[in-house]
Formats: sequence, C-alpha cells, structure tokens
Amino acid sequence: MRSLSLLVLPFFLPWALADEPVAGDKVDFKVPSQADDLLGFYCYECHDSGTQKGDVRLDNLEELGLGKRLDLLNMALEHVFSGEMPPKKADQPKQEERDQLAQWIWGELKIYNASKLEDKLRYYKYANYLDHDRLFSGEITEAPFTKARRWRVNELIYHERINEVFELEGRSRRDSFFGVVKPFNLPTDPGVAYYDTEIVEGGQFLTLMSNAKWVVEKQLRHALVESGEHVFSDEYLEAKGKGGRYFNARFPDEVWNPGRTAEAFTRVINSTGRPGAEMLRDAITHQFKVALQREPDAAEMEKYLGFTNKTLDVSDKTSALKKMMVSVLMEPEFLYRNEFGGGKPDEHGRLKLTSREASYAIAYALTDRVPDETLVNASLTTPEDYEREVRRILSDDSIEKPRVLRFFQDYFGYKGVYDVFKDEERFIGAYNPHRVVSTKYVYRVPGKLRQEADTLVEWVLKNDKNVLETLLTTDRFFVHHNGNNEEMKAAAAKATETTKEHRKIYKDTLNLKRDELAEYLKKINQYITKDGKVIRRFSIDQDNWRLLFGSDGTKGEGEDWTSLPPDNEGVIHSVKMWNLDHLNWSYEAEQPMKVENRMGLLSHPAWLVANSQNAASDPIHRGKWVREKLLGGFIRDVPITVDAKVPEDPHKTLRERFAVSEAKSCWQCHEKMNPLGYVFEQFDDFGRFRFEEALEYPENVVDTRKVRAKGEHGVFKTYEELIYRTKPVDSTGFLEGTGNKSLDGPVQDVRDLMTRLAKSDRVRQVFVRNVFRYFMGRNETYADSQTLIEADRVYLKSGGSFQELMVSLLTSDSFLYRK
Amino acid sequence: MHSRRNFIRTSAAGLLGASGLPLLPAFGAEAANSGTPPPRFIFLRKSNGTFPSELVPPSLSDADKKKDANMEALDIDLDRHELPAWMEPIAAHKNNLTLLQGLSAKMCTMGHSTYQSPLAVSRSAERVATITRASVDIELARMFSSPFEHVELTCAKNEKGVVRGMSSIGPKQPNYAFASPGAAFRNLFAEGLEKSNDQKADENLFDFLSGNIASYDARTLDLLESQKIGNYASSVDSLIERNKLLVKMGQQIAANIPKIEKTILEDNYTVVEQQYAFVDILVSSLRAGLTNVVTYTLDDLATQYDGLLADTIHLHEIGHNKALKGMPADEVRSSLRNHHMKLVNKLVDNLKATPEGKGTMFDNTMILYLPENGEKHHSIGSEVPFIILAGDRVKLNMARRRYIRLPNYNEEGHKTLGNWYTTILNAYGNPIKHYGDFDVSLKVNQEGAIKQFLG
Repeated sequence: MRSLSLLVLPFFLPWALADEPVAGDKVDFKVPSQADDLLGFYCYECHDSGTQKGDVRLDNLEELGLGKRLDLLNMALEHVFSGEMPPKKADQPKQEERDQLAQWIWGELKIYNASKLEDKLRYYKYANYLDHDRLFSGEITEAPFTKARRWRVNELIYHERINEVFELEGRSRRDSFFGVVKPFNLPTDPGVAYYDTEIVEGGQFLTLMSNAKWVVEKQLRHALVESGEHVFSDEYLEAKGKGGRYFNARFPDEVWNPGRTAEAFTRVINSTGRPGAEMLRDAITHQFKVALQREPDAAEMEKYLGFTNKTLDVSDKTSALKKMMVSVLMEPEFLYRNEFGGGKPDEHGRLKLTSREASYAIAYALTDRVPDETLVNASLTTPEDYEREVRRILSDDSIEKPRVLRFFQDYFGYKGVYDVFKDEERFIGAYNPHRVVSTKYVYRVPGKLRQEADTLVEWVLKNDKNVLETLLTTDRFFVHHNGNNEEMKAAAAKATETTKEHRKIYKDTLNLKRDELAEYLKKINQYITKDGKVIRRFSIDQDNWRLLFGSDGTKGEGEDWTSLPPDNEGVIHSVKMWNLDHLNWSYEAEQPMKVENRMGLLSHPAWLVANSQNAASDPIHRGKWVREKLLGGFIRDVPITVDAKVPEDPHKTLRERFAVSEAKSCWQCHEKMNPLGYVFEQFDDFGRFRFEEALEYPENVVDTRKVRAKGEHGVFKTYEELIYRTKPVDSTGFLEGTGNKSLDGPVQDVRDLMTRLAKSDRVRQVFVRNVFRYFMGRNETYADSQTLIEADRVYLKSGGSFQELMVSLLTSDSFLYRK
Repeated sequence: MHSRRNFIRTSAAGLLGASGLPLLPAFGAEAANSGTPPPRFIFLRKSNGTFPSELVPPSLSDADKKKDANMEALDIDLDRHELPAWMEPIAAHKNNLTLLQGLSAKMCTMGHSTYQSPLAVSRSAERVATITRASVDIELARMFSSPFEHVELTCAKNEKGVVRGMSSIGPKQPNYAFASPGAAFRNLFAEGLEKSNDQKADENLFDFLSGNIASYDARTLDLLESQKIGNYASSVDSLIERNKLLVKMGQQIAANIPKIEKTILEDNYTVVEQQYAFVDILVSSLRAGLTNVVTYTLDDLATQYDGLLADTIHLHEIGHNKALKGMPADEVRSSLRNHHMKLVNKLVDNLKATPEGKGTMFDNTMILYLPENGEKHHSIGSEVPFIILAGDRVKLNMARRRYIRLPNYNEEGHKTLGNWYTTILNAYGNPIKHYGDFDVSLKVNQEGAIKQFLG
C-alpha cells in the first residue's frame, strides 16, 4: 500500500502547494530507523560528513534548520523518485525500498506543504522522471484517467474562436485580426508545447479585454455605420475620397470590416426608445451562440438580462449592448476548455466526459476549431462513439487537421531553425528571415527548411507505415520541393525554358556594342526601359549567366539539364545545405529523392540547424535531444556554479575542444549527451555533410574564392568565401540506454546510430509517451500505464500507423475519464 | 455566494497588484503621513549587455585604468573626469550621476534572455513556475503605494497592447507590461479624459464580470485548478478597487495627461517614436500620482529597431557583431547607447522641471539603467554595470558623481545584485536581511546590504 501511494504520487496529491514552507512551525525532526537504514546503505557512502560528494550531506538532517532541511529533502526526493540516485554504478535499491524512501521524504515535506516534485511533474521538461520500464511493465493495473481540469485555450484556438464569433467560413476566415493581440504564447522549447498547466494572467486579462472590445466594435460596425452612429474622422473621409496606395497603411484598422451585423444586434441598435426584454434576449442568445456555441441557460439569461438593463440605466442602448457582448467574450468558458466529466462515477470514482466536453476534446485534439455540426450532434458516450468521430475527421480531407503535423514539429523541434541566427557572410548568401516569422508563411532559409521538413513528415504520414522508424531512417528527402510532383515538374520545365532563353540572350549579346545591345534588348522587349536604357539587372544576370553557361555560353549546352524553379524567398542557394550546388545541380522534380550521406529527420538540415550554435555545430544539444526525446532520459539544468564555456583553440576541432566536458565533475551529465551528439559531427552548423571540419580562426585561412549568391535584398552579389585549414571529423560515438544490449555499444556514424535507434522498443515507446502527452495536454502518470501499453501494441500491430496510434489514444480511458 | 467568491480567490493574489491595493504603505507610512513626497524609482532595462569597459571614463589615469581592467576596487570622484562620449546627452546631469561596476549576478539566468531574473535575483525562464519572488521594483512599489502600484512599459519584440512583463509580482506570477503607448495611455489616463457613455458603462461591466466569474463553476478539486479561475477573478477585483481610487484623482490625472500624437496612440510608430512616447507617459504617470515605480524595457534582443539609423537594427545580429549596412556592430551599439542616454536626459529634464515640495520631482527620484543580461550579449553574470541618476534626497550616499568599481568576484568585499537591491530596500525602510538568491559558488560573505552605500 505504501508503494502504491508513491506510485500514484503525481495525481493523488492535493496539489495544495504553498510557495513557501509554513514559517515558524517547530516540529522535532527525527529520521525514522527504517529510512535511516536505507540512507545508510545507499546514500551515506557518498553523502556523509567525510565524503559530501557534490557538497551534499545527508547524515545530519536532524541538525539542519527547517528551510535547509526542506531544500535538501526536495532535492533528495527528486533524485530518488527519478532513479537518478544512487548512481547506476552503485548498489541499487529494490523498487520497494526506493518507494519507501521516497514516500518517507514526501511525507516529511508534506507536513509543510513544501514538496516541489508534484509541481515539476506537471511540466513536459520533467516528464521523463517516471520509470520507463515500470510504466510499460504491465504490473500497474490502475484504471487510467485524467484529472478534472480547465485547459486554457492556446493562441491558435483563441484566434479561431474569434473567426467563429464573426461567423466567417471558408476563404472568409482570417489569419489575423488587426485589433486582436495574441494574448498567449506557446513555449518555444522543443517538445510538446500545449499543456493544461497555463492560466490566464493579469496582463493577459487586460489584453483579452481590449481584444473583446475590438471584436465587439467590429461585430456592430456595419449596423452602426448604417444607423449613422459610427462617425468617421475628417482625416479618414478626406483620405478615402482621394484613395491612393497609402490609405491602408494610414488606416490599417479599416482594411477589414465584416460585411454585416447580426440581425439580433441590428434590431437593438435600430430600436427606438429602450429596447425590450425580448429584443435583448435575442441579442444575448446570439452572442452566446457565436462565442460559446450554445444558448444561455435560464439562470445565465436572467443574469445577463439584469446586467444589460442595469447598464441601460446609466448609458445608452449601444453601450449596453456592447458591454453585454464583451462580457460573453470574457466568460471563462471562452478562454478555458472545461473537462470535468459528468454523470455517475464508475467503480474507480471516475466520471466520463460529457458529450459536449467530449466533442470539444476531440475537435481540439485534431484541429484548432470548435466541433463541427456532426460532432456536436453525436452522442459521445462509448469508446466506439469516439472512434467513429475520430476516424470520420481523420478521413475527411475537407477538414484541416493542423494538430497532426504540429506534433512532429513540436516533438522534433525543427521549428527551432528560426531561432538560430546565422551570419550571411559565412553562409554565402541570404539566410535570416528579416520579417516577423508567423506560423503560416515561409521566410528565407529557415522557413524553407522548415517547409521541406514538414513536407517530409507529411509524406511519411501519408504512407502511414512505420512512421517513427521511417522518420528516423529514411534516405529520401524533399529538396527545394513542395511535395507536389506535378506542380514542381511544371515549374521546373518553365524554369528550364527560361534558362534556355537566357543562354540565347547571353550568347547573342556577348560581343555587342552598347548601341547594338540596346537595340537587341529592345527587340526582345526585355531588360530595357521605355527610354531605351539598359537596366542594371542585365549586367547582374550576365555575371550569373557567365557562371552558368561559361564565358562563351557553351558550357553544358545540349546536355539533359533541368533548372531549379525559383522560390519566393530568393534563396535557391539553400540547396547547399544538402551539399548541392545551385549553379550546377540538374534539378530533380520527382521527389522525395535519395540524398547521399543522410539518414532520417535527424540528418535534415532543419533539425541540424535548430540544434546548432550560431557559428558551430552543437553536439551537446543534439545529444541531449536524442537522450530525452528518443531514449526517455533526462538531463538536469546546467548547475549555476558552472560557467559552461568551450575553450578556444585554433588547432583543435570542436569535439577536441569539448574534451573539457569530460572532466569527472562534468561527465556525470555530459556522458548522457556527448557520445550521442558527437555522432552528428558529420554535419556542420548549416547541416552540410562533411568529412573535414574547417577550423574557423583567422590564422587558419589558407585561401579565398568568389561565390555568386543572392544577398539579403534578393539581388545576386559576389561573396568572398574564406577557405580554412581543416581537420578530419571524428563522428564515432556510443549508444547506451536503448534497453537492448544488442543495440547499445560503440557507433560509427549517424547511419549506424539511426539504424539502431529505429530498432529499439524503448525508443518506440518513448515516442508513444510523447504522442500521449501531446494529445492529453499533460504528462503521463503511472496510472496511464495501461493506456500507453495498449497504444504501443496498436502501433506495432498496425505496422507503425500513426493514425491508429492516435485513434488508440483518443479512445483510451485516459482521454475519456476525469477524476 | 460570498464564501465561494472568497474561496476562489484564496489561491490567487490579485494580479493587478498582488497585494490588492493597500492604501497605507507597509514601510513608507511615515512618508505618506507626513505629506513629504514619496520616493520614485525608475528601472530602465536594455538588452545585449553593457560591456564594463564602455562605462570607464576615458580620462582615468593609466594606473586606474589598469586597476579597472583587472577588476580591482575603485571609488573615484567623477568631477575630475570626462564621461565616455556616448554619455554626452546626460553630461549636464553629472552631479547626479554614479557609474557602478562589479556587481555579479551568477545566481540569475544569464545569456540571451533573462526574463524576470535581473530584477528578482533568481533564475527565471519562460516557464512561469520558475519565478520565485516579487521583483525588487515591485517590492519598492508596495512600500510607497499608489493606484497602479507599479507600471511597466516595454518596447520588447515590437509587441503591441498589454503583454507579459519582465517584473514579477510574486512567485509564479509575472507582471504585465504596456507594449504600446496607446494601450498605456488608455489604461493609465482614462479617468482624466472625458467619459463617453461607453466608458461609463465600463464600471458596470467590471462589476458584472467580477460577480459572474465568482459564481463560476468551481467543481474541480484541487487548488491549482481553482487558481485558474481565482487569478482571473482577482484581476477584475483589483481593477474595480483601483478604479474607485482613480475616480477620486480625476482632476489630478486630467491635469497631467501626456501629449501623444494621434498616430502613435493608434499604434503607428517607429520604435524610437514609441520610446519617446513612453518617456512622456512615464513622466506624466509620476506627475499624476498614478505610480511611484516604473520599469521600462527599452529593448530586447527581438526588438527590430526602426527610426534610429538608416536601416532597421536587429539587436541579436548586432550582438553577434554583424555590421549594419557597413556600419560596424560596435558603432551601432554605441549609437544605441547614445540614443538611450538621450531618452534618459529627456526623463531627467522633465522631472527636474516638475516642482515638488521645495524642490523638484527629480530630487526624490532614482533612475537605474541596467543591461538585462549583464556584461555582454552571451553573458555569464560576471558583472551587471549600472548607470544611476539620483536626486538630492535619494537615501544612498553612493549616489552622485562617483565612478565605483567594487572588488572582483570572490575577492573580499565583492558584491552581488542581491546586495545592491538589499541596500536600496534597506535604505528606504524595508528591513529585509537579504534580497534574492545566493550565488552558491561565491566564497565570500554575500548577505545583506552594501554598508558603505547606506547614508
């Protein structure tokens, strides 16, 4: 029983955590003999008065003041619970002993409401504290459930809810609203981002309020203009009369207005005298319907009616109407997803989600939008009901399901490519997005890489076979390609024709004098102004053509050649990240294509750059990712005493310089990362495959060369590339932690590492754990063991189908039940 | 109803002033009762670090320069020295100026983004749960209460509206900040503007929201879930209480409404225009008595700076020494600092031009200009250089005409950010023994105030 209590620690605790220990309480503290025995056997050897390893001493707990003792006990609980201590080379306690020790510590902390572990276990960062083997052992028979909760909407759902308020459908739905400020921001760290831990904060309240007011103004705008209540400024009217290109810039809020105001609101605005109760009831009902997708109940109606009438007493009908409408938009239900469950509890004390709650849970699992009509009308009671609706949505191509791809973006974290600044002189060409990066558009190289990675994931999901394994080991990728072969073939054919035309122009104009050139260009009606002047762009293109076609224009003539279609971002040189030359690569329009020396998404430049430093690769973060996201391990934060700096040395590779982290005091953590991360040293910080590492120090420059590429303004320019002295890359590493001794051991390169990881049961199960977190919006607890085991079984049985994995999780007890 | 309403608030301190709106200051009661003007504190946060060498007066002797470079203690009268060229805009205020070097901050989150860390002296990350305490500016604001308690303004990330702030009002509770002059103007000065019917109806709206949220279904079992609604309800309550106070101050507010261009109030501005508008709002909010403490983030690494140089400045790139259209990064940094000093100068000039008691408002004001991430772009917290401008009644004897370098890390007498904030809090009557976390690797005594700074 004691062990069971610890087992369910994360969800049975009252969560009534004070931020500070109860002050002033003086309770005699004594380590019970059983706990003292366990500490003595497993801990004191390293943490007594003599050794004090890591400056930690556990044999004098009784002598410490309350604050220090609680701090120490919190640290000890975390280490014991996560299995991090005793260290793996030392004698290990049996599970029962570990449980006993953890439970005693937790009990001591609970006296003061001072335990920090439960709070931490709610966050993604600490999800791997749970013992993986235990989770999948089958020994836990708890009936799974999720804690009853309010789950704050994220910025994407909030935005879509505003689209619903305006009753916009199809192409009318908007990607942004001028007067709506994003009240929430999802975390940007790699991993599952959208959890149920967030709350509406004070600052967000003010933002939400001003957003609501703006939305209401727009809802009523048409009717107010019609009634003459909306007064345009003279400045606006004057500018409107003149028209002109800067009108939108001067009056950005006028760019979009809804074309109509709902009839229920229009009636109130146009009413003569004080609007009657029936009219107000209609208005309240309508606002409830568009904001909350339901009608108000009787009590709500009375409350809102009373409020609107009271406001009418001190203001006017339009103001009163607006306040009522704003209030509905400020309802907690507009900002939180309620998941309490309803009906009678089952034999485990669990309540099923109500049908309405379930419709939202399913809709928001797969989309950012409120439930569609079918889902609203579906009676969602049994797992079969859930399965029917989940499969319906998954199979309906007309329903956008951004949440599916977003899981892979979150999990692999390749969207982090936006966050790593790269020097364009080093890259030789435009690189950084110079505009605000949205989730929707492609911006420069990072945007293009992210899109290429998205396309790869979508291709794998379309096949839906061995999804994780394929993503880890595929040698096929999309390069300069949007995933649509027909479209890209057509674009490439057009680009090839254009190249032929350019070759002709180049050859025709090679030896022309200025007047003759102008005459020629006039004839073909290109590169010339109305006044007969040759535009500057011609000489820029001429320089490029010289590189492409050779000085006499015959280079590659007659060869079977396909040109790269242009991209919208002017960064075709980004193909160099795949070790391809944009000037010499005959484009392959049929993709995915095989790319040499790459294996899996972790060899994709998007992932490699997201896990790189500004001017160097990053074996530590690359290794950390593999340890945490594939092997289910965890790495503690860098201790504040550590000044984590890599020494500079112009004679050494980065790996050689990282030798400092192999010092005994560092290795305890770095051992979990470096041997995995070093394998990726095959790729530089731009994600380019390499055998040799350039030692980028001024004293190592051995040569320079001129390279043409588009610069930050989208115009070709000549860069000077520095050629450095190099040293061979050592990409050997060591794999440990797959749970399979035949897979653990020294690894040669990325191909070797990925092949082994893809075969590991543990890696697959850790993936399932992450998918669980994503769809449940929380960390798994031991009580979810049966859900996870079943999801893993389904994934295996279905041949690695992500769709089946989703169906399994979205019909599980963890998804259906609340407690 | 009443008990439920109270219940859902038990877990959450009011977010628009965590302690509600205490009308009597905890430590500053004496000042409040005596009619003497309250002290004001202005924290100016900037990004990308400040190189300690950038603060060194160029006219220091070679011996002193060497000492400074070796991080040996120095205490020099600025009277005899020139200021670094980029400080020229504040040269006229040299009598009020102190340059303070050598405070370490290794107990803080350092590096690119430091969140609430440099004002709360602890490690903070994006995750709200990492916030451990109310930041020092909030602590000071609570000592000398005002309707808004504390005002935060920010030009970070080119955001608009009201956003999460970089001060904290308590554990796990970030402050909020006004990110656009329009949002600040409408929220701070509404009571001084002529009210439309719509604004009158707002009072009913807040009351209704408060009651409505309070009666909200609180079926969930645990405190963290209740907090989700409790925080929300407390936000409304604080707003109602504050509004009552503001109504009484209507005339005073109306007399001090800042003059901000209409286009700026409509969110059409460059960053530089935004920064100057915020200075006007800051000064006006002090004059109107809306607050005594303002934290103003001049920029962060994501701010895309327009309106200063020929091209938009991307601070992160400058931090990585990328030139801006041929202008070396160092020169861009210098231009930015110089521009900041112009803002500071405007601030000081305006406060000095505001009569108060027998002197001016500036007499009671302390301005602290600090880099959020310490000594450089990729900082480790070895130093957080401060520029301090202090009026004559500021209760610290170090403030005014000094160049001070404190002893180096781990040298006897070395001081941390925690010591510095403890000094300010102690000087104004908060008896806290030590503010902030300790640096566990620092071997010298690090508890308490910097005694030599206390008058």
